[in-house]
This record gives sequence, structure tokens and C-alpha cells, in this order.
Amino acid sequence: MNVIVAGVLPPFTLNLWQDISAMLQYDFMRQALLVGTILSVVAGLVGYFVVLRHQAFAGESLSDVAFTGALGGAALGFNPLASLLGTTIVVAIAMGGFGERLRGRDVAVGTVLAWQQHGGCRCARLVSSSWCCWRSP
Amino acid sequence: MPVRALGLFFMVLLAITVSEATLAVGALLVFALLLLPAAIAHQVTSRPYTALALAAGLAVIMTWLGITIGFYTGYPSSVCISLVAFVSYVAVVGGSRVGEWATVKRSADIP
Repeated sequence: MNVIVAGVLPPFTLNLWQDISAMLQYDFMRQALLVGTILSVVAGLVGYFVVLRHQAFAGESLSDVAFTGALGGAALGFNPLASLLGTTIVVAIAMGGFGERLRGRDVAVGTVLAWQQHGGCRCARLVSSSWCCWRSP
Repeated sequence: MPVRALGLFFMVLLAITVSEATLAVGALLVFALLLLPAAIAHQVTSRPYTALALAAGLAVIMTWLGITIGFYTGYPSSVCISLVAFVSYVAVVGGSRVGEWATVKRSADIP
């Protein structure tokens, strides 16, 4: 079994404080830990209510919609960050508008999700090959 | 109490959280970091404020451990955070379910 590991690994001594200080002297590691901390606190708090309201499927589909929304916005020429936020909020409002009837609409949400992922793959091809859908290449 | 409006506002809040988290850790990890610490906290305790603090604290600890393991083994950080979260979820929730099953089984044998 081949295990893919990075080319150059940092030295791992058994001195824990030295290892952590060696890790923290990289700027990107400090930034990653800071971003991860802020994000984890928010995600933990919001996720608790998601679990209580049995909306795990909605959260999962929102993350897929985020992927498709960013790629679709990039293919159409918009700023991908703005299209990411906009698409996610629009789909969340559409889901929230159903209220408690979301449980009976799993099939509808799943169908929309499949269409979104198909659209996302097409938009990824559009973005990566710089081929525009309404202009001749 | 505007229940429908609060439900809609919560969905919009979830959408903003998911989109901002997607920028930082990728679209696949958001789901893991959103649900697994909260599921562990829901299993462990039933007091709301304790569970909220436990969910946030567990998520932070999982992120730190995952990033550290990713630094030393070379895998992407999302993979390591997901691994830590999944292992801890299986340990806590699976262990408690097995404990319940064993307790019920043993008490059912008593005539």
C-alpha cells in the first residue's frame, strides 16, 4: 500500500514544546490556527442548533450549493466570493420558506442538489478551460 | 414569538456560516466541523449552555489537533481534522450506544 506523504517532513523530536514552537514559527501555520479557531467556535455554536433542529441534510446540501455557486459565478464572470454568498443565501431562504415541511421534501431537495452538482461540474469545465458558454471560442 | 421568521433567519445564518467556512477549510470539511462536535455534545449532556460550550470547545480542540497532525504527517489539514472528528465521534457516540445496549441486555436477563 502506497502512502502519499509530503516530500520534506519537519523533524519530530520528542520534546513537545520544541515541536510546537518550531511549528508556530511559520507564518502560515499561525494564520491557519487563528482562522481555524475562529471558524470552529462559530461552527460549533451554529452546528449545535442544526443538530437540534434535525437539519443535517440542509447543512450538507448548503455546502454543495456553495461549491456550485462559486463555480457558476466564476463561469459567468462574477466575483466568485460574492456569488458563493449570494447563491447560498438564496437557497437557504428557499429551504427555510418550507418551514417544517422540509421533511417531506427530501426527494425534491435531493433532485435540486443533483442538478446543482451537475451544473457545478460543467461550470468547472468552463472555468478551467476558459471556454465561454455564450461566445464562440 | 415569530417562529417562521426565526427559522428563516437561522437558515440564512447557517448559509453565511457555511459559505465563510467553505472559503477557509473547503466545502467537504464544513459539514464535518458543523455536525460532529455538536452531535458529541448532544450525546454527552442535555443542558443547553453546557452543550453549546462543549460543542465550541470540542470543535476548537479538533481543529488544533487536526492542523498539528497535518503539519507533521504532510496530509492536507482538512483530511486530518475530519479524521480526528470522526474518530472522536465514533468513540463517544458509539461507545455510549454500545454501553446502553449492554446495560439493557444485561437487565433483560434478570427474571
